[in-house]
Amino acid sequence: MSWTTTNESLIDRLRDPHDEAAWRRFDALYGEVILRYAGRRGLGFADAEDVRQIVLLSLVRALPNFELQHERGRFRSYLGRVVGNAVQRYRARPYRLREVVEPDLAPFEDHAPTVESSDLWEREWTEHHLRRALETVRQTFDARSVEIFGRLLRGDATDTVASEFNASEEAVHKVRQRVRERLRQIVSRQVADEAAFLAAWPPRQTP
Amino acid sequence: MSPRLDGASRDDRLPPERDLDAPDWLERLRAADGAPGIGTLGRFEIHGEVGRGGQGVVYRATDPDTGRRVAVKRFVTAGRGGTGVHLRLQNEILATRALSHPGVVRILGVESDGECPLLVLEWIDGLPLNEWAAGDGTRPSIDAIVEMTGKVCEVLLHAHQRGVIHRDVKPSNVLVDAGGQPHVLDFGLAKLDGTSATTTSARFLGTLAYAAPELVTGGPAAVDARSDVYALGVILHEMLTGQLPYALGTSIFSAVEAIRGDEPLRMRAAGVDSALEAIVRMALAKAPEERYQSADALLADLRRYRRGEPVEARGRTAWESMRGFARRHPGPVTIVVTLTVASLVFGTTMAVLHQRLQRALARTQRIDSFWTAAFGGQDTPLAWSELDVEDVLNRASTRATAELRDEPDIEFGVRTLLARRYIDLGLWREVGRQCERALVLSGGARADEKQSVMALAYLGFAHCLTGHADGDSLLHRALELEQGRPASDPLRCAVILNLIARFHWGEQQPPNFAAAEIDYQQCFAALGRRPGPSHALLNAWRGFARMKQLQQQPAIAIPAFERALVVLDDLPDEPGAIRIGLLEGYADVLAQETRWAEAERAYRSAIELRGGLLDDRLPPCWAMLAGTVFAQGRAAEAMQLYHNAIVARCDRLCERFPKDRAQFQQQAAIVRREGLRPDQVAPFVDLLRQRAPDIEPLFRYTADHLVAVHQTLGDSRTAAALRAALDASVAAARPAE
Repeated sequence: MSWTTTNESLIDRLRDPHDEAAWRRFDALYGEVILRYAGRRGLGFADAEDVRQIVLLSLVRALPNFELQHERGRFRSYLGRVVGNAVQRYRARPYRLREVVEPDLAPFEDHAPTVESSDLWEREWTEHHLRRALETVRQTFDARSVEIFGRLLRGDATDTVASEFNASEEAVHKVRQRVRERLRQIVSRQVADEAAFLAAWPPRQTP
Repeated sequence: MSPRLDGASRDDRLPPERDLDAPDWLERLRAADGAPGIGTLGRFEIHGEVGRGGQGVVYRATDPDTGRRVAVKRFVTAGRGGTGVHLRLQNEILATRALSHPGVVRILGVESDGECPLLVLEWIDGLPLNEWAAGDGTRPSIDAIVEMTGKVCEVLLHAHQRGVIHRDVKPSNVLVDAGGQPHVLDFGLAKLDGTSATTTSARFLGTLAYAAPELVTGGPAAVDARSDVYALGVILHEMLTGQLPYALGTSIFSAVEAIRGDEPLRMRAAGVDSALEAIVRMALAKAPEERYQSADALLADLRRYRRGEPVEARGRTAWESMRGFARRHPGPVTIVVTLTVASLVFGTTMAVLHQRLQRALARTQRIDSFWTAAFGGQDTPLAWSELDVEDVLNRASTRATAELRDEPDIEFGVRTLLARRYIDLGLWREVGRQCERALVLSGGARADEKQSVMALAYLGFAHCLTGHADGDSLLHRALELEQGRPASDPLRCAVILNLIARFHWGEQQPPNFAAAEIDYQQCFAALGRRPGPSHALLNAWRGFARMKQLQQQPAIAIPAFERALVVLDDLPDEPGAIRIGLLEGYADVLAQETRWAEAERAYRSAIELRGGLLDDRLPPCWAMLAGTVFAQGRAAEAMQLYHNAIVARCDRLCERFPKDRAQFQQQAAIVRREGLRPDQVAPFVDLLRQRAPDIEPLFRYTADHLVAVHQTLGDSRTAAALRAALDASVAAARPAE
């Protein structure tokens, strides 16, 4: 998609709150990991959906105004914090959604330089990226390679797969390597996108 | 284990990059791929969302029994047993079951997650048509696009031949699989020949850009296979040129106008030849009778085009275009007529009623004179403050009891008028009392006395609001009576249906959105029989917009608020509070959709209008305005507005607690002079806790935002001090913990 082929990063577009497509894209990319995490924290599906909404609305409000440090991996912990907060607030919610959403500007202004994201968040995050990359591979590779790799991923042995697909073991191995290389590329691009997410912020002001 | 900044070597890579370099990368990938889904719906494991719309959300899921990948569509409903949802569901099943074509996504079953119905569909691994047409860098050739359109046409033809009209054909409803076969989804809006399962609000569920002129303007009855042909025309135009045939503008109205009136944009620039352009134009003809009369006819022309044969479609001449335009704009006659009809309804305002009364019989003249006397000869009580009006109404009510004892007929008329005015003020207990008295006078609700039916309806709604159990049944009884009347009035039915809907989503716990959705469908259907601006129409849009706002569906709420505001423009004698409420709701949903600039404008208009109105039930929206200003990066201005919010709040509190006036004034003075001072927080919060605990969260909300504003303006010191003061005040609130 155009996100990766143009110089315009997702964050550049997100800073324009009117850019609906950018926000849709963001939701498509990160909505699921938010849902999963909220689910792991014990929220039901519908509640997790609400949390996702809250997080997105919080970000919409926060993004044009807040600065962050440009550091690899920071977006991960940043979002983790926001989501964690949202889950907590949601659990404690006595108000309408609007009131749950609104005050959530608060957690953004005091983010500490190092945040220990919970292992849970870390794991969800990693798996989220791997899944996303895998999905891209499934959509962009030729059907046969996708199927072969699917068997390998399922745990089938190389020789079994080779004979089933009437291919040499070397060919199967090649598919495996090609997919891995492609996954690496995709994942590093995904991570670079996140770095861009941070790089777009103005430099930190010294009081 | 904090990661290093730059030049990260392979070993320093963060997850998830590191994971792919690990020896056990395949296992890790497997764990990620096989991780339990994002939750479960019924017995299905959900992996992700595929799309969402007004009807519900579609998820990618696994059926644990078969291990098969499926799509699960969860129909949006909050309450239980909503008939609206079931209707739609049933409609989709009926429509789809009638079809058997590889291009129609199959239904595998219907289940429930205990709350909402789930429709289980065949999983199609494919791209939405628009993404297919965008291609992977290069767009498909014109021939490929024409061929694809032909295939979609075949699917629709199959449906049409079995009496099913899709009505919501759009690119996101067509999935193209790896083999290039399109699969048409979402027959939830489908119309089955011989059934009437169509709605006005359903128009919102479809995407406007693909809706035929008769869908956006005409009644549901006007829809037939030719509407689907039109949608295909839009899709073909879009795939060929990369843009829609019309510039739709930014509002639902400009879109509707464009669809009704604009000629499609020329397609030559995109390399489309005149024969193909003629096909698109014929599919897009405004009048259904000028379009291809069936999917079959369109398909035939597409095939002729691909074979290089002459096509049947031909360009329209200028004269034909003009004739079409004249037919589509028959003039303002209908609106004038319907306005007159609308004023006959109970739900009209004083001014209209006043004129009417003056021209009426002796009975109404008597009511009129009483009414005028009660208001001290003033006939425009709307200019007064609301509290004055309430006072005058109360006195009028007392006078009616004393003076009209022997004139039940007159008293009845006065009571209904009083009820109407109390409704404007939102004083429902009084509304209930007036209606109850009116019903006693009329000997109960009678089908031959339309005002008594409305009195019953408002009594029912007042009971709903004041915690009586019988409200719902009174409302339904009123509806039954009105519908059963020989000269049943669609507008009056709409008013009652709107009240029932508001009961369902606004009063019932939990809100029964599904039932309300059905109520609105019926309500808009009734309004469709009497088009034109009316108070009933205004209130229906208001209610619908509010409900959608509550349901967190701003994309539907925004156009609904717009509709309400436009209708309101045609009804100049509505109280200002209604416009304020609409503007604020509109602003809220715009803000939700991050349309900050528009939200700001709406909040500003609301505040401006508020200037003259004293009404404590409507809190000022300074803080919301400040939020939108802040979101647009104008922090300094936002700070001023947040301070205004606190000052305005203090002014209100002075009125509410005259005894503590001095203290609130003191706090307001500090804020006015220096902004919110950190050392001011603790005493202010204390004061609020003692006097107005309901205001504390609002204050905290504003103060929280001020922290962020200070931070953005580079004043970390004040931000930190304010934050500390707020946190300390929270801690002080829970000594027990």
